[in-house]
Amino acid sequence: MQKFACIFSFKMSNWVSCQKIVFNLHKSYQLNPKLELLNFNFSHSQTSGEIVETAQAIVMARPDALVILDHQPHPLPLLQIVLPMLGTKKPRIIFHVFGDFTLFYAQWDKLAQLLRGYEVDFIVASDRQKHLLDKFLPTPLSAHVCPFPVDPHEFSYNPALRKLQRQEWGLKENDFAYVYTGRLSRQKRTHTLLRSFSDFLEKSKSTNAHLFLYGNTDHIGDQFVGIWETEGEYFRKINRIYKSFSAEVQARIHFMGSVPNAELKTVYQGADMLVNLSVHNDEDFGMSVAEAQCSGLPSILTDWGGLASFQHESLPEVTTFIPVKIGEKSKLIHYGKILQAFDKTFEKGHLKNRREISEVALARFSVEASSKTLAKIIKKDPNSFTGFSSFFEKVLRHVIFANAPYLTESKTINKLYREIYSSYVRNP
Amino acid sequence: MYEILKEQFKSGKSLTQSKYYSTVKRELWPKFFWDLYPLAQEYYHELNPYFLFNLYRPEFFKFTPVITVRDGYVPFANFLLNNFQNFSKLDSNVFLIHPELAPIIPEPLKKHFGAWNIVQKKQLTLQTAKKVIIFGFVCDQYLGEADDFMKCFSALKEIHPDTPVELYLPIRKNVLDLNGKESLAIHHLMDVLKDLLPGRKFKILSTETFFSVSNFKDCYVFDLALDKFYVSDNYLHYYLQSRGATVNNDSHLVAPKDSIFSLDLSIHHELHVGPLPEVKNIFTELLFYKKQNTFVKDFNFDATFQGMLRNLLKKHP
Repeated sequence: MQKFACIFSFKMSNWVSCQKIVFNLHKSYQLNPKLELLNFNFSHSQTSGEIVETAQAIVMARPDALVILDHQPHPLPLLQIVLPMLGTKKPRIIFHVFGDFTLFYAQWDKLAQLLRGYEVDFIVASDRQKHLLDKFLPTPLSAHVCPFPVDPHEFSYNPALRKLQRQEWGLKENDFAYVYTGRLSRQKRTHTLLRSFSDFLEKSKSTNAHLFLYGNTDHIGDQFVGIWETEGEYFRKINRIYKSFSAEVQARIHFMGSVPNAELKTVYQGADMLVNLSVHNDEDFGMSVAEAQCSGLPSILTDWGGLASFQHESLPEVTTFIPVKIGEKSKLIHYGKILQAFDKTFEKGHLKNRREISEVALARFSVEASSKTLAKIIKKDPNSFTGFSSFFEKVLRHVIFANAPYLTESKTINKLYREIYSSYVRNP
Repeated sequence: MYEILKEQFKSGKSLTQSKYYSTVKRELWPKFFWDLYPLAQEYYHELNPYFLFNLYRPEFFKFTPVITVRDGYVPFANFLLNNFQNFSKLDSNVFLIHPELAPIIPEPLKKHFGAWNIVQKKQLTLQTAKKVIIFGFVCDQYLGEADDFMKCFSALKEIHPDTPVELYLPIRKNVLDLNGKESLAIHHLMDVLKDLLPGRKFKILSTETFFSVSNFKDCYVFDLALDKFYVSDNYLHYYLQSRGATVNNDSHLVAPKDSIFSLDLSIHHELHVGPLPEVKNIFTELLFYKKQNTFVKDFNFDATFQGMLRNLLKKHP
């Protein structure tokens, strides 16, 4: 029996998708009978004294491994206290790395100095995130992949709910419901989704396609490419776009606001297709897509970052990918292909194999599947950490000394950004 | 006015836009702005929502033809007393104010002003809400006299006995006060809340917890503000209504009949612009006070002025 110290914020994360991830990861570890889990709270709201207390409790527990389950707060302040106190018994350290790795270079750099000589594993949620992270790791260290898990008790095929949801939406049997769940955000390309759906409706003259958007607007902007936003700015942008549509189109686009995650279970049953056009810099996976697919919902997705994980060899028709490339000034989505995807999926109509979609997705993304993957990772001999790669050093230098590290003087996307984020596109 | 609003809307230009962030030197804003957290955070819409007390250069008044005024009645009265004689020099065409500030507009300047109102078509009541949050910026100036709490907050008795009640009560000093006297408001307030809602278990919210919630659709937020002393456009109301909450801020259920222009502030609430309401004017009283008290340099911090203004507005709502 190995003793694993699981370190995470007992309080839910501000990021809705991350709320689920951490607790589901924990469930995956819990399923492993060879592990004794000890839980330690490390959260933003803790005082310095409380962090010291947590650190002391971890050291006293003499764990075989420290598992950093959460992405926030960054583990640096805690490990700065824990690691020097550990003495000769050096536990293995397992980091679950999220999409925000690229926002915290300075913290990782400082942590690297403490990690030297420790056996360290970095676990990411998708192949593309692995490709990205491996650039920062020294050979022979390489990240492991374990998708963020979905709890089948929360998201699985449940046709009984479909009728209820469609009644609530006021849809008829032959209506086709596209759904987007997540933040309404510039990097999630909500504006492109609205425009393309409107163009699709106008061109196809379809009278029974609807788009339901669940989520609140944010004001994150796209700071890596020099776009900042004030609260309300992005809402006004998409509201102006929406108001520019004809009354007929407006009547088919439904802004539903934010709902509790549990309500999405019914939403995914009622819907016919998930659409997610994200080109977010942190798009290491796509928790909402995983939950939707485990509910049996097919999807139209941008071929960007971790969203590429949602391709299934046995059911290729389940996911339609929209090509993305890193352009001069921003990430570019192939607009024509979005329209084609709407056309094709609408023409095809309701899929009959939703149970199968759910089963295929759960086989890869369920808590149980994730538990097996983690067990395999744990079984492997970890490598000793020697520091991050020279590429990491290069990026760090730029990030420290430049106001806009990813932009050229003429405000176009620079080589450094492309070197990092080429991992997120298919044919860089 | 409609044409000016339309032109402003089309341009969308606002000092709060991120592209103008570095144009404004926030270190030159009055210090009390920072003490107003979380009432006064910046947000954007095309009619340029801004605090006049933050416009530290005349050029900013010329930046756009429209400003949606966010100031409460104390800083707004201070602004008028300082600028009414040279108002034309500000060169801003339209100021949009909350209707409750209308009594203090000098008659000759009325042509420069319009009124904004909030419309929220779906609203809950204290009885029908699934959750009630009681909010107060806990200091004397925001809440008023402790002796009046029971009467002012008596509506809270309407909350259904099974409805959970949460308290978000950040404790603050009196922001517009030179004396910095110790406030006992929180103690009086808790006494009153316990009397109004006997036997209730309150969940106390920290700022972090409060802002970590993204869905307030079934929630009624009862703001304990006595009136619009500091701000007339409270950021917290914007934040909550954007996420579906109902707030006791007299938002209309339908568009006012005299609304000439509107825009959506969120999927849940709208801003409507119309003419100033016809109300009794009290500016002459303010002017008289100014002439009698020539030594007062800043009416924002004059307790006598604040008290007089509060009473005058109460008398002539």
